[in-house]
Amino acid sequence: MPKPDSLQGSLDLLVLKLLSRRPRLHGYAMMSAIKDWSGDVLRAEEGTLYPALHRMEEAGWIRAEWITKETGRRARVYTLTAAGKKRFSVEEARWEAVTAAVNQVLRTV
Amino acid sequence: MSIWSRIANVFRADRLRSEIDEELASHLSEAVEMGQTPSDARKALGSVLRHREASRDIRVLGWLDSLRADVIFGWRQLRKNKVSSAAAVLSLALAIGSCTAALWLIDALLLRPLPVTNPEQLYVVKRQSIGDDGKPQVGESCSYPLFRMMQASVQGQAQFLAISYAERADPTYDSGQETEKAYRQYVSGGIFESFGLRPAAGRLLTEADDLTPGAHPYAVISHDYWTRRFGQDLSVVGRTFRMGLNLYEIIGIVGKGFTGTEPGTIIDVFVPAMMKGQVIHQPYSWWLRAFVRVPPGLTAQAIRDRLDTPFRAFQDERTKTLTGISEERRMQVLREKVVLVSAASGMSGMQKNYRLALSSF
Repeated sequence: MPKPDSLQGSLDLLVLKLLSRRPRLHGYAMMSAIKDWSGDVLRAEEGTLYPALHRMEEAGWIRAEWITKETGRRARVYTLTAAGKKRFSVEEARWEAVTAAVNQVLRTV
Repeated sequence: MSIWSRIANVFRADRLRSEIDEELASHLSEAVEMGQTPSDARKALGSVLRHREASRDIRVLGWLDSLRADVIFGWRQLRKNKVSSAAAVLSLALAIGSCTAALWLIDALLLRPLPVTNPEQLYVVKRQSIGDDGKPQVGESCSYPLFRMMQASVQGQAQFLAISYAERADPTYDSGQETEKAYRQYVSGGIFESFGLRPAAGRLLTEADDLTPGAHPYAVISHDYWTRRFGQDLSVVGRTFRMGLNLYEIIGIVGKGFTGTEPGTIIDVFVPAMMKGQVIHQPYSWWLRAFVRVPPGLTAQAIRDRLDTPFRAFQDERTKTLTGISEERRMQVLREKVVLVSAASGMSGMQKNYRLALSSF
């Protein structure tokens, strides 16, 4: 069962990862993807996701554009920028370091 | 996102808001398409207003943040190269300063119209000729007899006003043996009425004050001189002073703003042209500018054409007196012609001297 706010600060990393694999995703698709790929464990909330997307867009990591879907509806889709790719490796490395450290603590103590 | 779109975001708050709204609406439709009920989807989305505010804050704060970063970065760059930064700041300051000063001067000297009624109707009669070096030259000086001849030829159609070049004079006041300096212009009595000027105190010169040579020892002083020399003392009206051979009475102070017709020189004392002395009878004594007020309905060209006849007659007489000159020079004098040049912004030597220099800015 997906829990709210279960991302613990890893939302940026997840979004960057998603977009590095699948460019041109819109917000809803990202939410579904996070839910599916995490086996229903992680859940990005709308109230956190969109401000985060806008923040990352502002930072220049992702780029947004409006597309018109086959249904005729407009959607705002996001793509990783070069700066975003760089950011992704930084975030990934940081995440590895943090989880490794946490694991080490868990094993040692 | 470029700096321009960030700035655009700040100034296009409405567009930003509707963009965020549209994105959230698109999210809802997507959710419904995927099988959620509209009410569930809306509940999950929560308050649109809250999302909108959060996103908007991010975008605008993001802009402020990058502005802050840019400023810090700029400041550090400036500190890194202190000498070149100082040189850049200094040269920019000098450039801005000199441009401002030049524009201010251009405005004061060349553009600003005289503070008189309908300044655009004012023209000065100039004489155009070919100089000794073969180049065209323009003279704006006029003698009193020539002024009177031209004035007579357009009598009743356009008003002619004689105004002398500004010159330094030495007025002395009753007690004073001390020498003082003041800028003086000899003027036709009618200029104040023609210029629509009002006295700050006393009265101004009229045409009746400018009829008989030497008979009108009256002076009008400028507001500036009144303030500077007399501390705006009203009892100055009626006071007398000696200037040259005459004892003048101050009859009034002209209202604030009018300081003569020569931008660059503030006139202190205006006296009637008739007080100029013997030179008013001398045809080749070039001490004044002939101003013309071209009334509505008449063109400067039409007035100019009427001046041709008296000017030709004057020039014919003049060449007779020019004995011992070459035939070539005689022809040059005869080929002189009159032109009217706008004097809406006054007429002064400074304008002539600085026009080119200032325009080069």
